[in-house]
Amino acid sequence: MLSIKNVSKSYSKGKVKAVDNISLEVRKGEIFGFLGPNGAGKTTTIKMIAGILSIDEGSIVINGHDIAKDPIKAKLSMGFVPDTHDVYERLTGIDYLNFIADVYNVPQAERKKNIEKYLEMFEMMDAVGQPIKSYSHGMKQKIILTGALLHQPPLWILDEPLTGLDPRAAHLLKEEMHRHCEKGNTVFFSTHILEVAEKLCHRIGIINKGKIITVGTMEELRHSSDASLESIFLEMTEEGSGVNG
Amino acid sequence: MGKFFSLLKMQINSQLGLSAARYALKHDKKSLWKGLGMGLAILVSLGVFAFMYIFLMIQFHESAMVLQTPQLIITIGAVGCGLFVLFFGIFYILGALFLAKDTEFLASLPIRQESVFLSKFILVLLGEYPLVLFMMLPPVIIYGVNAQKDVLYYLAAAFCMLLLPLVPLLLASLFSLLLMQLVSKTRRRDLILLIGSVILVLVLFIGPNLLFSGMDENDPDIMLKLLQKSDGLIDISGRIFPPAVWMTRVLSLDFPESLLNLGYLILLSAAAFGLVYLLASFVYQKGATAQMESEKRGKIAKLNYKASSQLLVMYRNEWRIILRTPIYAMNSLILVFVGPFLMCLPLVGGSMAQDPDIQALYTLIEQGRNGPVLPLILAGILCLINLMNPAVSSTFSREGKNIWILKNIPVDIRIQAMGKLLLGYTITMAGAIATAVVMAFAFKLDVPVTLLSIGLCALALIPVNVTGIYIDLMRPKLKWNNPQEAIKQNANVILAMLVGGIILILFGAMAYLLSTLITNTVLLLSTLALILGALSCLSLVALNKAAPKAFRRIEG
Repeated sequence: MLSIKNVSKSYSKGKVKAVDNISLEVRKGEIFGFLGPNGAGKTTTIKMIAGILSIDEGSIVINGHDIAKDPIKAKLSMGFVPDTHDVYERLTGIDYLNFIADVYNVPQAERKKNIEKYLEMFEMMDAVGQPIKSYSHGMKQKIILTGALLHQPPLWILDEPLTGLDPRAAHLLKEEMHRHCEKGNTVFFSTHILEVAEKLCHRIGIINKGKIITVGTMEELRHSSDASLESIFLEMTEEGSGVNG
Repeated sequence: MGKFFSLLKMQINSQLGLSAARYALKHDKKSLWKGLGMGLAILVSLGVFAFMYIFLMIQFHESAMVLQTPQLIITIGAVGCGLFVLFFGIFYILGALFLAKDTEFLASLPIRQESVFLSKFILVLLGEYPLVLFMMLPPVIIYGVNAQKDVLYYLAAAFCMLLLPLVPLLLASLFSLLLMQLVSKTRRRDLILLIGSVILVLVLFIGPNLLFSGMDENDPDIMLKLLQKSDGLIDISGRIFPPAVWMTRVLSLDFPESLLNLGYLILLSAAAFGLVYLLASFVYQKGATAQMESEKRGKIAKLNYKASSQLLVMYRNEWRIILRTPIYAMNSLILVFVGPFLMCLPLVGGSMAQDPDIQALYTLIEQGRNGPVLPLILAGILCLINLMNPAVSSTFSREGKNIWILKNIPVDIRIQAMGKLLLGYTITMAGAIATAVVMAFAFKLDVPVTLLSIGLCALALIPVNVTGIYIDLMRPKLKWNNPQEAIKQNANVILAMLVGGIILILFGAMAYLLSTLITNTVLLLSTLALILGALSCLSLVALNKAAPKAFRRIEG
């Protein structure tokens, strides 16, 4: 579903390598957790997958479409939630959702059904007619999530999706992620909440200093002991422990 | 006081990007040189306007010498400067004080609200000094050199120039504070803010017109009385802005009158400052926080799920954002409609309607009614007025942090650019049509002449708008704190205006050349329309080709 091959990205004319030759295969039907310390390259990687940042080297293929060569088809296959809550604040929630539905070619009947489904799930029906600038952080996150999911993309790319959500909404989103994968779809998400990653993800990848240092199921990461993901994460991302993945 | 200076320092640093420039100086010299080069290019281009202004001032000085009031040049410069500061100041002040994104952050800090107000006021004031220098240096130097003034004159002039923008800017602040008080009490804040600022601008410009319309300039007795009084002309010219008269007297009279007038200038500035500062200490916070409060509506809105095409949705989305962001609406929309109205105001029953020069203009228009010159000149004027609209040349910059949405949506950049271009073109054409209608009314123009000029303008503005959108797409200003910065502090807007101006000059030259070759009016205008149409198509094709590459370079 998502194939990242030898991808690199540098800033400041090549002086700072944010992502350094990473490769990943995320399969259909799995929830993939993408972890790493602050500044490790998570968001840069996710922004390259979403087509926001250009790729210096390598390729990213989404559902058979190369994001650099065929960006429109690749983007149609994914729903993206950024780590910020930046969204058109002067629009109302429904204006924003209709805009997203239009650009993702969602027919009228389907958009109504999906928008209502997620708005009811996130308890946003009453607020959707109000300007987004009047929303709390959590509400903005809910409207962005609704926008990302309403065209039912096979791949969800979620950067810190649980940030700002109330416990009920976070629980419902996690259930929705499970349901999505059970249908043979894929979720690729980053988080700093290791307990969530441990319980939710089929596989986990850890990035540090721009390099993937490990990828595997929880069992594979644990090796033999029953170490928690937290201790594995701390051990692997310790200063000087960067290993080529 | 320490907190205030710390706040002011931070705001200046953030506004001018000093830390970023310092960092670039150490780590990324190339980008620094690029920025400096761009600034220099704009300065050089502005040099053309400076040259024209200096030329105009020299001419004016010569006329004023004949009337034995050479110091009138300072009055005129100062009045123009004061009006400019006041007009643009309202938008700057509203943007900085009430609509900036850091309002919430600053409200959370343990700093007194008047300190926040003062730091923002100083920030706007500092931004006005380049305009003051641009408008005041030529008259001060021309008068100083001709009158063989000494160093003291130039020191006094520098001090007066420091004080000059204070009163108009304080007046703009006063209006803004009062307007925001009103806005904070209403439910539809954005709408009231928009309507309020339009009314303010209209009042500001109708006021001086009314002031002059009370005087019959063609009455020989009045003119004689004015000329007999040594500074009668200065008095009447500075009637709408007394600090201009005081500044003139400071620089032209001897001690003690000069000192007395300097005292007036300082006293008025200090009094105005005291009044506004006091008012701000009571009401600033309320107005600022009103913008942060939600505009929640009582009942649940009826939801509409109607689908539309990608081009249409891009176009409609742009409309919504412009209409619902007061700063964008003020800069892109209001000026389009208010501008033409204000420009023709003195002609419609105002002070200039009976002016012999205007009467001569009417005769000229009457004589050229059947020739090609009139529609060509009118089309040129329509294009030039609407060249100033920033709706197109700031379209990508206005996205700011939301650029991730454009980058992520599965819509070809060519469709996105076309939607944005269409919106900007709609606004500029709406402005052109409004201007044409007002001009037709003011200059008693025929319908065919008006329609022809609108048609030619519609064709000529396509390549101009395409150039504007491409300039912004190449290097959008996405990092800003206040939506005002996306328009007013955006080099792309100035650059697009300059490049658009050059394109229009070339079109003008082409029209002139064609008129020397083709004598038949219909054939001449048709040929011109065909060429402009072909150039428009070419520019659209070029944008379609260049947009994807430029868009790929944007990394928000």
